[in-house]
Amino acid sequence: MTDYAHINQLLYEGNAREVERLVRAALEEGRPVDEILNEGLIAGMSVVGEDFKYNVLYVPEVLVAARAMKAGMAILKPLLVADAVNNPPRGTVIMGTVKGDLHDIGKNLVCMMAEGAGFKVVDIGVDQPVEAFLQACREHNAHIVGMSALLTTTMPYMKVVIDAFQQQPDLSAVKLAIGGAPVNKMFSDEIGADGYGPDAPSSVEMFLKFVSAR
Amino acid sequence: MPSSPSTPATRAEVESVLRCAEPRRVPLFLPAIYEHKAWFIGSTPSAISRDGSLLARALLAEYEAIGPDALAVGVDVYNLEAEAVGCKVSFYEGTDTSIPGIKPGNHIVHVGDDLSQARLPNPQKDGRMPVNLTAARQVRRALGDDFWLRGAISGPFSLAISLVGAEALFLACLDQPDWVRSVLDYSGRIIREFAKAYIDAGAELIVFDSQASPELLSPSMYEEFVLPVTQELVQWSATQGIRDLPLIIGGNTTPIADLLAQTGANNLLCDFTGDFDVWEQTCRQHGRSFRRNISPRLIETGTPDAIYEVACRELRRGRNVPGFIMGTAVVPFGTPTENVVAIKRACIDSASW
Ligand code: B1M
Repeated sequence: MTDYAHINQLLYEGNAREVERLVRAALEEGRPVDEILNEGLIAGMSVVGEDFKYNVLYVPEVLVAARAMKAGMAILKPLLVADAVNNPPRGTVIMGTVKGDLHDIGKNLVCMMAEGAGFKVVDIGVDQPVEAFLQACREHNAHIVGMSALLTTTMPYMKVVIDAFQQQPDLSAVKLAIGGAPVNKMFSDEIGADGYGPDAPSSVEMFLKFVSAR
Repeated sequence: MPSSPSTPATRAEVESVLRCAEPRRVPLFLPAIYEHKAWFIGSTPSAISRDGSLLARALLAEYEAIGPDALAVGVDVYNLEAEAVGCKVSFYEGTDTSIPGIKPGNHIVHVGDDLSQARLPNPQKDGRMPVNLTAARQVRRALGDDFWLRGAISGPFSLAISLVGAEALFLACLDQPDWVRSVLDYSGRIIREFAKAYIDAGAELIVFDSQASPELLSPSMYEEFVLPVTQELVQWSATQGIRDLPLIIGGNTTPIADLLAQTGANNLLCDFTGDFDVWEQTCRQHGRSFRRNISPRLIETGTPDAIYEVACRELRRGRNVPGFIMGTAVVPFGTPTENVVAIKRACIDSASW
């Protein structure tokens, strides 16, 4: 009998091998793929996110939990893809760190948690110019574009990206979100972003709101 | 608004503050200026970081414009050691003022590598170490022996991140702690080579280890991995004649303030997000001096008057604290000079309170 709370706990502890084994066992038992994904993996990762937010967990523990989540996902992914009609991704998110900025630890955590929440995430990396955001957004037909900046000198580049998106009629429905330590709500409003994520779990909540409002 | 800064502190005055003895009438002012140095000579971070004479010119221009009580030789301070043993640093050309760095994927050490025989740098010829050494020599010659000139070195954990990559190293902290100790040991050996060369060039040292910040690493991990190697580095530095050693970790380090005091470094950093009261208590208890920072965003975009006000507030809090030093967070490239000078002015004015 599948015990999702146990899978959540193993994921929290970063026990990739056991998470993988129990995901397989749940499938063998005939549990639906989306149930395993939501109750086993996504629920576990959201506890990790919350505890990270409140400094119960630190970056290494989050990474190890995300690795366990990935191990479980690797088994579910082919099934989810095969059954894309019943289990579509929640939405597609492009994530990148803006031009001139090489910080990616925070951005990567946002990517992991967004994936953990069922989004398709395309990470375009660090030091990315506006053209890269536009191109990735078109190529993947994305719903959300997330930008990260950790330097006060690179924050203004987020406005460059937002301005460019606002000039593309075909991308007018794309939600533009920003984050990174020096960024705040006021700055986000100032530059015309659709939203600001103070941390990874809150960013995922914001993404969910964006897609549910579609 | 007077813009001519007062005479910088003598070495004896600096020592007195760092060792929490006699306070200085005008509190020490140690702004954190790295890439912004280029601004003083109309250059770019990438350009000054690759040319020793240009870097020396930028340092001397910083000295003239701001009147700090010390200078730090270094621009992209976390890259030099890793680059000297083979990591590729990305630079920006022309007028691009972005700051050089090691992009993900350009790390040279892989988790599990045997590092016992790994290559050590020759600071006289590897990477850009010679650039910093040239600058240190030229600035020392220009400013004389009584000025506190520091060569920037990485802390062992930050260098390990540059060598291995952040995520790989963090995962290894949980999966392979013994191997992490070996990479930290290797980092320590590299750093000591660079440090020795700085000392020979006439500079003292300043250690940067922001990647060991509690924003990334838990206090217990700091204690387990970082504290021992940092203590070693501090003790080794003392054997090389460096008794006053600043250890700089940005971000809110309040949860590890006590551990930082235990490293033995006698000049610590309480960033603008840190809890002043906890820091004051910790530093009093351990006899450490500490630098209080002001937000980089305020320094970059505030008016000189607003910055002056905040500086006065911090100076009032610190006036009776032994070893209190006024500082700034990393001054963003392009910050107007009068904004930084406003803090210096507050230091000077506070002498008459
Ligand atoms: C929708 O989109 C979204 C939504 C939410 C988003 C989002 C996007 N992005 C982030 N979020 C949010 O969710 C995340 C998870 O909850 C959070 O992400 P964060 O990124 O905020 O948080 C991470 C989980 C943890 N935090 C971090 O990862 C940043 C930690 C600190 C220590 C830091 C690091 C690690 C590094 N650094 Co840098 N670095 C510092 C940082 C100081 C500190 N203690 O915070 C900071 C940011 N660095 C700074 C500096 C100055 C620099 N750094 C530099 C380099 C580096 C390293 C490469 C060595 C390394 C990065 C390694 C890497 N792979 O990322 C240089 C710049 C290089 C460049 N061109 O980018 C250099 C310029 C130093 C130099 N002179 O060389 C300072 C900036 C000051 C300023 N004026 O802006 C700094 C505050 C340190 C300091 N106290 O001075 C949220 O913000």
